[in-house]
This record gives sequence, structure tokens and C-alpha cells, in this order.
Amino acid sequence: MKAQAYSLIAVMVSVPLMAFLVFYMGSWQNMEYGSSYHKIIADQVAGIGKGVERDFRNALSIAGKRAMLAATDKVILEGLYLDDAVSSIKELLVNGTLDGNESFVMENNTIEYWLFKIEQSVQEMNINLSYSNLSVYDSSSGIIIEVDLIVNISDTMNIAEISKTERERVNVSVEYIEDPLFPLNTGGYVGRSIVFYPYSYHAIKVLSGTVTGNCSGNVSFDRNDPDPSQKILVTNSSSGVSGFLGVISEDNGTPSVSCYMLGVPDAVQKINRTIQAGFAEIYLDNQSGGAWSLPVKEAIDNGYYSVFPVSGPGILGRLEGNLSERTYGMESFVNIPELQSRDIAVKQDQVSIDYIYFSGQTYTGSPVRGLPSWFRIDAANAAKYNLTELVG
Amino acid sequence: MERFKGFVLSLDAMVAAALLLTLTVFIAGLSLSFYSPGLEYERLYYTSKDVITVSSEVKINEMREFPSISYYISQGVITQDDMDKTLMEVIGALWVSDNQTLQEYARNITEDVINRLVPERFGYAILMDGYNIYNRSSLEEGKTVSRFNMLISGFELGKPVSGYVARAWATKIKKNTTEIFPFFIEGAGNDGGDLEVWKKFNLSATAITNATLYISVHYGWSSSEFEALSVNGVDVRSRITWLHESFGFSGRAAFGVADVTDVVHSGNNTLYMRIRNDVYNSHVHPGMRLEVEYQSEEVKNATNVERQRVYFDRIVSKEYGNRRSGAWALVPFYIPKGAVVRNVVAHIRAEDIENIAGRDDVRIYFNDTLYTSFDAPPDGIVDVTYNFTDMASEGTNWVLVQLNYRIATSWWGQYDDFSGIGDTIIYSEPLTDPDNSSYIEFEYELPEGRLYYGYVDVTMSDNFGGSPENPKSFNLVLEGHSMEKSFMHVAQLFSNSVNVSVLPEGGSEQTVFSTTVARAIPSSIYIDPTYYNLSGNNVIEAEDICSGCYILPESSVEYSLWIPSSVGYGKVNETEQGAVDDAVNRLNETLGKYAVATNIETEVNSVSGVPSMWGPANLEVRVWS
Repeated sequence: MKAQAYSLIAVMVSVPLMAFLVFYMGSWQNMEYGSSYHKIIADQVAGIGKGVERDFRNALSIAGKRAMLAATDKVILEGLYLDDAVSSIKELLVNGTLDGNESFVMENNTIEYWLFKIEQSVQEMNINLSYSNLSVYDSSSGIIIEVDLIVNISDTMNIAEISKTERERVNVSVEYIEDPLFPLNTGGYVGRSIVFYPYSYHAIKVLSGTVTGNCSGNVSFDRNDPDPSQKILVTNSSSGVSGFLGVISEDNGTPSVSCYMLGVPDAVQKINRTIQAGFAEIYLDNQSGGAWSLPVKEAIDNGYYSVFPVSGPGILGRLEGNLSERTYGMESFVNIPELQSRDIAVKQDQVSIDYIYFSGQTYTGSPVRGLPSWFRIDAANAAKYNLTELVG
Repeated sequence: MERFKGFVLSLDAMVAAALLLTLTVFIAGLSLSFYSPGLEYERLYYTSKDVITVSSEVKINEMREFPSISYYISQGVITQDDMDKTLMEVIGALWVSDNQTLQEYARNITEDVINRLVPERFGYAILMDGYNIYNRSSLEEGKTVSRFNMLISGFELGKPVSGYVARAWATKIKKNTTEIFPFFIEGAGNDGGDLEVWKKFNLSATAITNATLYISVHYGWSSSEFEALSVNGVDVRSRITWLHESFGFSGRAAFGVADVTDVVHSGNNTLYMRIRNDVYNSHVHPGMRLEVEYQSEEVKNATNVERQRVYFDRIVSKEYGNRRSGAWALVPFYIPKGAVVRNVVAHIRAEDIENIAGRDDVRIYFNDTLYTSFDAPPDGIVDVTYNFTDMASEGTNWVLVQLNYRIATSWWGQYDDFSGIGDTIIYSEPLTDPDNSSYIEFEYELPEGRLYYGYVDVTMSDNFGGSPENPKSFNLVLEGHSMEKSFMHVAQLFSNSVNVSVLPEGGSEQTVFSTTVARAIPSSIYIDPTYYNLSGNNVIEAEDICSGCYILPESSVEYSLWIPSSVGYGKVNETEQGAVDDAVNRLNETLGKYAVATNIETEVNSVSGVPSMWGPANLEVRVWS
């Protein structure tokens, strides 16, 4: 009887305990589920906020690129510089207009349009976007657009909410945009798109030593090159070499050519390493006593733009016709034969750097050996391009 | 023993209870493990979020190891320009191309990359704007699904993510234009003496489509007194159709027209006319001119400083018996509104001028003022230069030269007083001896904002039409082009004082010219472009205060427009050639009827340079268990 009583007591104790445990664990599970739900909602709100910010930067890049296009388009078409390029770019970014006139290029590509579209597109959240403190300034590769993006996002049940202001910043490349300086200084007859200089240096003296004659040509390492007349042979032994435009040799064997540089240790290796950079031509200069790699020639021929700590105006200055120097601006070379081919009067002996050449003042430059005979540069800029030894 | 038995039984019960408790905990644990939708959803959610994060943050350059990406790089589908783009941007660009092959590439890349991110036990799908890019397994009903969305601007199905725009400008143009060579109000052949007039000019034309000579003269009663009219040595008298004539005691005023298209040519041209009037004097009346329509490749360089030289016609007045000779010519020039007059110089060379002391046989007027008069030197050659810079004003100005001639006054009124013995000559040989010729040279500087750049100048001329009237008006409809200048060439048989006015659409009527001296009707009356509504109708009216002095329908308005010779960037095109073609088409449309571009250059803005704010597209990742 007692045993039965004890068993009964045990059951009576264990049943509520089991019931409690089952209830507790169910409640814990529900609590976990509820908290997870809230966490996900909050995460989603944060995710949308982050996505909006990312997309805003993307939109700024698109609008910025188009604003530069629209501004240069107007300047070049009308032949008149902008009074205030920063204000014009801002007007284009925000309203898609320039001096109050709608720009075809900016149609549906403005910041305002982006705000409208994003607010329309986000249906499942309460979203309110705005911006302030828009600023635009030159960078070495284009323009920088900075703006405060004000984001207010909440879910429809008000579980989570974001309310923040982020300073967004994008650097919009000016590459492929047309430089207004050229058409406006050539009656619209000469245009030039901005493409940045692709090499890491402009001029470098690869080898030093005694040079006989002056010559410039593509490098060949093959003594049996089938087309030697325009090439400079780089070899470790020059005895008996003939037919080449020039020769650079590690030994002192006199070749049967009029332009050569002999007894240069490691010439093959050094020249080979240099032309790996992509520029295959070498200039032998007897005055400076050296073999030069002058990829700056491509900047002259192709109108590439170079960036220096002290340089010509950036795109904003060029849109205004402001030719003053600036920090980390850009510059290219005027191609005199191109101007002459369009019957445009050229300035004799004027420094060939674009913003200097087109300035209203006279800046006389000197020719540079190894570069086109019409090319002119002054001492300060020659140093910048590492051409000082070749000037004169 | 009984106590021990009870204890054992109690112990059994407790063991049973413990077992039951353990079982309960186990079952509860099982239920948590297998049936927690929250935990499961959380796993799915974070998986989909990881997919979005990876595809929107990681650059293609960092994903070269994936077989699909390395393959498409090797095939040139993914280019160097794409290396700095995110996976999402590359997949999106391929997908929105609406090209099935490229969409297949998008699918393959997605499968290759995303399959490695999503655990195999989960199904997933990537959608853009509701369209399925890729799905692993199909979503069945009743499954727990997590969706993660992201908006990306710049993508929209069927729209190019980036493309090309081009602008174009014509570096060489063959324009259809008109040039008018007016004969000045000039004379005279006195009482049977001959008046000879030579107009010499150079024309730069690739093809002459029409040349019409308008003849407006006062000569004698007999048609034989119209003695010669030739163009480049070809007698064109028989080609004249006399449209208007009026006979009077002083002879006849006649206005005719002749087609001289075949005898005017590119280069140097000479027109020659000889007339006399046995009962009065012969001279040129308003409206005589040569109008040449031609094609030219000559494009004027617009500058804000304009310098022009207007040469006198060569005039020879011949003495006839005791009827003395005398010559005059009224040569107009113009100054635009707002322009700064930089220089106005008149060079007059005359020959065979009488040297009678105190008679002042050389008389030079500037506008309505007798500027100077003097006796010719003993050799009869007058070679003088005057600077009228300070006297020139906006609008039409003129210099009148009277040689061996004056309008005298007697008790019966005014009469023409000729005094030349032998010939009286106004010397002008602009083609062979320009600097010694008689001319007016004027130079002005236009205000800022009237300099047109990237435009080609095209001149047109419209006759008034209708019948002779006084006053007579003409509607000039302009289509919105900028205007460089315009002139009215008044044609009349007889004239006295003409007023010209313009009534622009939406504006008020303004008088642009009034004759200051009777019968001094300039051959070209300048009408400044500011008088016009350049995008509407303009009523140009000419009225002579003499009611019988009709304005002839052959009166004309000459106007020079600036037609754009370049077009800016157009719509974004998927291909470079498409952008160039679009620019060239727009340029040809712009040039329209005025010109044909024979050489067009284009500046192409390419590749990633021109993105568009399409969309935003909704990129959705669905993950299910």
C-alpha cells in the first residue's frame, strides 16, 4: 500500500514537472522565433539602407558622367566657356538643365530622377530619401562629387527604422570626355577626347655612355632581323653588324653603322626590361650621351593627358577656359601639324603644352632632341617630363 | 521486509518518472530541432543575403579562378573594362542585353559562382525584375522561402548598360547660297552722252545654279539708247524681259530681268553696260543688281571683328558735243546695332576732273552731309582718302561722290549741272588694281554674344512679288536660325524718299531706314537682325513719300543665316557605328536644304563612358529549403 502511495506521489511530482518542461521549451522556441523575426526585419531595413546608399553612389557616377558630357557638349557646340563650371555641373546633376535649358543628355539621369525612382520602387518599406550639401570639385582623373544622403527607412510594422545622414563621395572619370580647350581654340576644327597617358614614365635615360651619331628606332635583338634599316640593334657583340639604323652593344666591336653606342654593360638586359613597359623605341643621343626611352612621343602623337603635382587645369577649369595651373590637374600636348592641316595659324616657338600654348601670353620654348622638330618646351616643364638633358 | 518492498516500489516509480522526464526532454529537443521555422528561415535569409553581398561587393577581377569567368574572359565576353565591375553588374549587363546567348552566359556564371555559396540542401533562384536568371531546383509549395532584394540603377531589360554617343561636325561643306552684286545709284550720261558702267567681281562657286540680272535704268525714249549690256563679253541685251516701263519728258525708266546663268562663272566676272539719254541724262535706278545662286565650299570664319571693302563700279561719263560729262555714285555700307565702329575709310580716285578755280568739281557727301568739296588738281586726277570712323552710325551709311556734276538751283528750280569736258571717270579696278580703286572700307567689332561658332553662313534672297504698289510689304518667315545680316534692295522706276520698316510677329513696327536726301536710295538698305522675330513672321514694308513712285515686286530681301554645322551628343547607342550614323544623320537633318556636308568628322565617346540611369532593376535572391 505504501509502495503504491509512493508511486502515486512520484507520478504526481513528475507529471507537472514534465508539463512545465514541455511548456517551457515550447515558450523558449516561440520566443526565439519572435526575436529572430525582429532581427531579420531589422536586418532587411539595414540591408535596404545599405543598398540604397550603394545605388546612390552608382547613380551619382552615372549622372556625373553625363553632366560632364552635357557641359562639354554645350561649350563645344556654342563656342562659349561656362561662367561657373561647378554651378553648371550641379545644375545638371540635380535638374538636368544648364542655364535653365533642358539637356537632352541628362534626361532621366539626374539625382532627382533617381530619388523619385527609388522611392517608387521600394514598396514594402516606408522610405524617404533626400540630400543636401552637394559639392563638386576637380580630381586628378575627373571630378569628385560629394553629397549628404539623408535616408529614412522603416518597415510597415515599425519594428525597425533607419534614420541617418551619410556623406557619399564618388570620383567620376573624365576619360573619353572631349576637352573643350581644343575646339574652342581652333574654331571648332580640332577636337580631342581625354585619354590618360598609359606609361609610368615620360622619358628615361636607360643607358649612359658615349654615343656616336643620333638616331631613333624600334629595338631589335636579332642580328639577322629582316628589316633592319629602321631599327636599333641591341646586342652583346657588334662586330660585323651592318644595315641597322643604330647599334647598342655590350662590347666595343665597331659596327658598320653611323649611329652607335658601344661598351655598355648589361645593355641587352636593361633595354629589354625597358621595352617590356610597352614602348619599343630607343633614341640614341650623342649630346647627352645616352640611350633614351621616350614614350612621351606617344603623348605627343596621340594627345594623351598626363597628371603632375603641378599641371594644367582639370576638366572644370577647361570648361571655364581657366588656363591657370593647379595641383594634380592634367595637360596634353598641342599637335602643331594637326593645327596646320586645318589651316589654323600656329604660334611659333610657343611651349607645346596645351594650357600654355592656348594662353594669351607668349611662352617661348626650346626644341627637344628625339622629339618632333616643332615640339617646344620650357625649362621647368622639361624637368617635369625628365627632358632637361635633351632640350636645345 | 514490507518496508523494504515499499522502498523498492517507490524507487521503481522514481526511475519510471525519471525515464518519462528524459523522454519528454528528448521529444521536446527533437521538436525544437526539426520544427523551428524561425531558425530555418534565419538560415535561408542569411544565405540569400550572402549571395547578394558577394555579388555586389566582389569584383570580377577577384573571381578569375571561377571556370566560367576565366572562360568568358578568354572568349572576350568579359573584357578588361569589366574587371573593376562587380559580379552583379556583369551578370546584370549580360542579362538585360535581351540577347539569348548573352543571357545564357549570365546563367552559366550565376550557376558556377552562386552554387558554391548556397548549401546543396537549399534550392535558390536569382531573378531580375521578376525574370528568372537562374534557379537550382524548383520551388515547391509549402517550402520555407527567404527573399532578399536589391535595387540596382543602370539596368533595364533591353536597354544598353553603357554605350556610345557621338557628335559630328562638318569640316567641309557645300552650301547652297546666294550672292547679290548691287549696282549703286550712279550716273550719268548727259544729254546724249554715254554712261558706261563696269562691275567687276570675284565669285567662289563650285556650281552656279542660277544667275539673274535685274536691270533698273533711266535712259532715252529710243530702245537704241540702251546701247550695250554684256556679261563676261557676252551680249545679253536680247535676253532682257522688260517688266516695267514709264515714259516721260526726261526719257524712260525701265526695269527688266535677264537670265545670265550660263555666262556668269566662278572666278572673275565683268558686267558692262552702256546707255544714253538724248533728252535728259542716263543713270542707274534703284533695284539694279545681279543675283547669283550657287554652291560653294567657302565657309566664312565667324569673328567678332568684321572688315569689308565695298568697291565702286567703274564709271565713265562721256561728253557729247557740247553736252558736258559728269559722274556720281552713291555707295552704301552698314554698321550693325551695338557694334563698335573701328574704322571707316573711303578712297576715291577719279580722273579727268575739271580744274576750274572755285567751282568745286569734286563733291563728297557722307550720309546727308556735304563732307568736302574742292577743285581738282591741274592733272584732273583726284586721289583722296577720308576717314569717316567718327561719323559712321548704326544702320545704313553711304558715301556720295559727285564729279563734274552738281544739283544746281536757279530761278526755275533745281537742275543737273554737268561740267566735264571729255570724260569723267570714277576709277575702280577691284580685280587687278584693288588698292588704287575707289572703295569704302569699314571695320566694326560686334558685341559679345553675336559671335557664331560652329555655324555656316548661308545667304538667301526673296523677291516681294505681286504687283507694283506704294507702300508695298513682304512677309519674311524665319525658322529660328540665327541671322548675321539682312538687306533690302528696293526696286523702283522713279524714286524720291523711301522709308523701310519691319513689323515682327508679336512685336511693334519699327522704322529701320529713312531717306535723308531726295533720290538718295541706297542700293542695299541694312536691316539689323534685332528688328526681326527670328522664329516667326516679319512684315517688311517699303514706302516712298512720292505717291507715284511705286515699289516694284522685284524688290528683294537678302538675309544671311547662320546654319549649325555641328550637332552635339545624341542618344546612347549600343554600337560605335550606330552612334556615328546617328550623329551624321542629325547633322544632315540640321543642314537641311541649306548645305550638303561633304566631309564630316565625328568625335566618339565610347564604352563605359556613357552609362544610363535605367531601372532601377530589382535583383532578387530566393533561397528555400
